[in-house]
Amino acid sequence: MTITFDGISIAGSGMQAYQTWLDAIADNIANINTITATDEVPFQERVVEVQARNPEVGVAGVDVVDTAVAETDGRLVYDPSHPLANDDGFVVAPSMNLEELMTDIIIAQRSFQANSNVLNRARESYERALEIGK
Amino acid sequence: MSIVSDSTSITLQTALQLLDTRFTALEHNIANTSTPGFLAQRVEFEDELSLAIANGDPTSARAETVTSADPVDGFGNNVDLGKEMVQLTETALRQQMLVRALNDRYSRIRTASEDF
Repeated sequence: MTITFDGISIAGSGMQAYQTWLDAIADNIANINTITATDEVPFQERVVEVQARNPEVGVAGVDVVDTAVAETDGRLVYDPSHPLANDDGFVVAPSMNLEELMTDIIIAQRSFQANSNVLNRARESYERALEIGK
Repeated sequence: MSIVSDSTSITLQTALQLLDTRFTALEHNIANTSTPGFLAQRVEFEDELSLAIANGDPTSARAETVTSADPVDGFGNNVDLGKEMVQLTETALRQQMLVRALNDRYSRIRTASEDF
């Protein structure tokens, strides 16, 4: 009979992935009002790329494959009084929207909680298994 | 086959092992609730286990992993967190039930051996 403690590390991999996503979203929200001049590169939205592990080779779970930036052009905003405004009165705001980020942060947070819940269940279940024959 | 490894204990052990496979699959699904293109995995073994018990060798039962055919979301993912948590709870309870049954079995053997 083989009982492994994989459940702990699978839930751990999920928590790690969602933590990375939470960090990326937090960074994006922190920079939602980062204004740049039209000739500069605007703030680039952080994105996290994940991939399911193959349960047939090794432990199941999820891996963060890449944390990259979405290459966007930003959004032109007319604000002539801004110190960074160009001759026509335009500055560039990052092309992210707060509604989407807030939705994502809820998904990431709830998923993190689900995985932390799974971790506890796995621990309890292993503890139960260790009670066999007591 | 001895008194400690009779067919009941072996069946319970096999069922525990198969439930562990399902537990792992459910955890894998929950870890991948937001992974684009990921399809939920389902572990089936009940029918095969009851067949194996009927054939006299419970250990021959194998768990079969199938991909869920539930509809996918915009990212090609079909993990339903609610469904997975419900199944996780159910699997954990079944596991507890089996552990209790095994312990019960062992304590009876212990009682019997104390009489000597």
